Amino acid sequence: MEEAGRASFIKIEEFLLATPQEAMRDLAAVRFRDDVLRRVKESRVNGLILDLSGIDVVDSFMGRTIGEITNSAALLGVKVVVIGLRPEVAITMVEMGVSIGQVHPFLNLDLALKFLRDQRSR
Amino acid sequence: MSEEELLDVEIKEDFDIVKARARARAVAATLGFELVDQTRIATAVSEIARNALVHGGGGKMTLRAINRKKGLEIVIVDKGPGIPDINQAVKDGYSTAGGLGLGLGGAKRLMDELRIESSSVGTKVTMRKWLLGELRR
Ligand SMILES: Nc1ncnc2c1ncn2[C@@H]1O[C@H](COP(=O)(O)OP(=O)(O)OP(=O)(O)O)[C@@H](O)[C@H]1O
Ligand SMILES: [Mg+2]
Repeated sequence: MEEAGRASFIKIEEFLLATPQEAMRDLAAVRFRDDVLRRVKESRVNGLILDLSGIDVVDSFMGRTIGEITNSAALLGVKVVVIGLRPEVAITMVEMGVSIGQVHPFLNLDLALKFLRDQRSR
Repeated sequence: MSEEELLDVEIKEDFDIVKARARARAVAATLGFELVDQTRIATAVSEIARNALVHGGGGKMTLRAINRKKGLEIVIVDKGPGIPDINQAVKDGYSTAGGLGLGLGGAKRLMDELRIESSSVGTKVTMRKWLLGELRR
């Protein structure tokens, strides 16, 4: 885990799935944020799915950075959904009072995709 | 694990925050803390270690297993300018650095004890979490 911060990006239908693979140092989190927003813009997707299953700590910095991603993507006109948040991380976020912006959380990828497709056909 | 001092973690750059919280989580797991408490501990360490780096110019974390009452003590120190008004600093939303001002208040809520000692030559934050703390609260 020397250079914490790898992430993967996959296009599914007209949606972008962005997945941080491991714990992110602050610099990596900021780089990930910029990377996601650039890809959202360049690949002209209709939706962004943020998979947070690889994140074991969401502190105030990480929460703010995720919030910047979700709020900025929404401003770009893209629907944003979050999947994979670990229950223990969710509990900790609630206790801390960390929020990640206006997002639609889903339990898994299937439900997220269904939601995004429904939004699309409106 | 006896009531011994474990290896210190130096906090000199942002990656050390990741190291510090990973170390704290691993020790917490060894002591028998369950996943939610491990995550609370790792998150509190992340906040206080970042404060030591960003506001205190760097510092170090020391972990100690507390035998008798069964718990984990985490001490994070720095040699920065200190916190002039601790009561104000702990309030949610107070930040001198354009942050959310959630770090100190949040860490306090996640841990069972959080004590701050600060002067113009540095800051020391001592946090404790007890095994079974949640059942006692
Ligand atoms: N180790 C420290 N040395 C000096 N000042 C500190 C230290 N820790 C905290 N402070 C002061 O207390 C304030 C509140 O800290 P807190 O962690 O709650 O918020 P923050 O670091 O500003 O933002 P956030 O943690 O939400 O990103 C800081 O803005 C800073 O002025
Ligand atoms: Mg802070």
